[in-house]
Amino acid sequence: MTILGQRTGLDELMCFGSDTIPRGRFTSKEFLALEYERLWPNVWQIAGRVEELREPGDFVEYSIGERSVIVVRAADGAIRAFHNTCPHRGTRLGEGCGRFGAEIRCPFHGWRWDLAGNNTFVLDPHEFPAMTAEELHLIEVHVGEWGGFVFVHFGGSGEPEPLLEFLDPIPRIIDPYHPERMRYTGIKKTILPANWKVVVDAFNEGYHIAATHPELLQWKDDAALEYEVFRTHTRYGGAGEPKPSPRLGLDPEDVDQQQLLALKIKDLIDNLPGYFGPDDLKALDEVTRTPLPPGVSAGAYYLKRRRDGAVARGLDWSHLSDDQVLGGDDVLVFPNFLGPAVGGGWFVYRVRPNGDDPHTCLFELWTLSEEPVGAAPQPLPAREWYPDPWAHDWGLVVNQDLANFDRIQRGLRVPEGQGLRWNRRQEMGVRRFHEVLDRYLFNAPT
Amino acid sequence: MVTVRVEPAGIELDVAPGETVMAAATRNGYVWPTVCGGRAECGVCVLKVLASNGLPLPEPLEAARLGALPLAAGAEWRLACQLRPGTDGLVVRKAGVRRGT
Repeated sequence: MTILGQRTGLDELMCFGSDTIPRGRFTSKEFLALEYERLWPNVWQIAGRVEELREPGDFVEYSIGERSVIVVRAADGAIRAFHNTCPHRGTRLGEGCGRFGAEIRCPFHGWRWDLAGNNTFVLDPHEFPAMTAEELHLIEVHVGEWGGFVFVHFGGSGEPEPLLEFLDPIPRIIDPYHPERMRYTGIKKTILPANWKVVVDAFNEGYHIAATHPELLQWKDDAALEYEVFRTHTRYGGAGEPKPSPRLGLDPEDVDQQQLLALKIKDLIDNLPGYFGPDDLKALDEVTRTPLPPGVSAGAYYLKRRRDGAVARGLDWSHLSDDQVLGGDDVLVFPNFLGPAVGGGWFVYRVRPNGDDPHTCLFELWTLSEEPVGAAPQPLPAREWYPDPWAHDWGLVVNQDLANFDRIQRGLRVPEGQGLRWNRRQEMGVRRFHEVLDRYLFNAPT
Repeated sequence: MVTVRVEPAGIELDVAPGETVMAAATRNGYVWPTVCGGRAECGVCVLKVLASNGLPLPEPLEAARLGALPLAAGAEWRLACQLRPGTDGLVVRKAGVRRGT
């Protein structure tokens, strides 16, 4: 059988039990095919946000490889998802996002379904005497919701595990930031010249900060980042207090607190655009223009300014720790959704393989900003699509990350290269991600 | 050759004409903290001047990187990867300089 032969050949690409991460995981078409066969049909994945589905009939398409689903707000208010294919001749029923209206209609022969997937119209139904109602129904895909995100699961091996059990402990870490109250402030998409896991791995550690983002060392205590791995997901974070990296070897009295604060805020506003919501920017900008009170540290002042700013905007951060307000939590929601949440928002990447090409991936940057309870809904921001990632300025920090991907992928393709190594502490999440992937691909006992 | 003293370790470095402090440290068998390896990118090699008999002014590259570091006023700061001391009497402070490769 093909699969058996494939599996035998691909066992060498297991990471579990190995001291290294085999390069073929990032470059092999067969490995990519194995992911499509065993990972994606069997894992919860983020298809969109509830705010994209405000009214009955609103839909958003989610695709992974050759699979495509339409996620729909039904007439009863529930969110449903269906395989995006007409039971008649296979046509896709929805593309991108938009509003179906009261019914889903196939453009090819005009068949229609209500928003629960029940067929309501077949042209010349007497010509299809053998088709049952079940066969005419759109094929449902499992749907779950957490934190304003809509998840889908293809149920490849039967009933999926409950979403919240799968996500544990991500909700415990992220719920304090009120993801369900966040709304999109940016939706950007491009194609990157690297395997999707190269991108996940790159954002799943802070070890690259020193060399890739050297300008962050002046205010970021990268050595203070904490790393944690869980059953399926990973986290790193903390280190929120503005403080130069200990790599610089500065004594506390060597540091100019005013400049330290200005540098941090400049990077967060100018070099990570969208990391903070637009309301925050003006307030933070003022901080850089106002001299610090004597004897007050940058961290203490910044913390107070952020907390006061939240109160002024009607946000309840009373339960957030200082670390959650200043540093936040950078999580990987396995397998492909990751980024830092901090008081007020989440700066998050969704990464997917690009068809059958192991050397490129679909990359999205979503910026989400917390809104007060009861805030009037805002129109969704324009979906920005950049066929060429270099045709857009993503902000200095993301530009620096993106600049690495092409050389990483091309370096990985060198046949004589060794298996990849990982830093035991700062790259423990990278290691864990690959072990968990092996659970799906090889049934590894992780 | 001029001699540079590095505190708090009390290391004496011989610096050849035209050589940077960092290069001299490496040649003398010491590790000087750096991430970028001497390209004035990371700022990690920054040192505090405790005493000198006058130093050449920073070139624009060094000045730009120093300007983006949150360094307290009232002291002279330089990048070891760019500083080429021309005269004896330079004493600097840099934590983390150690023997090794």
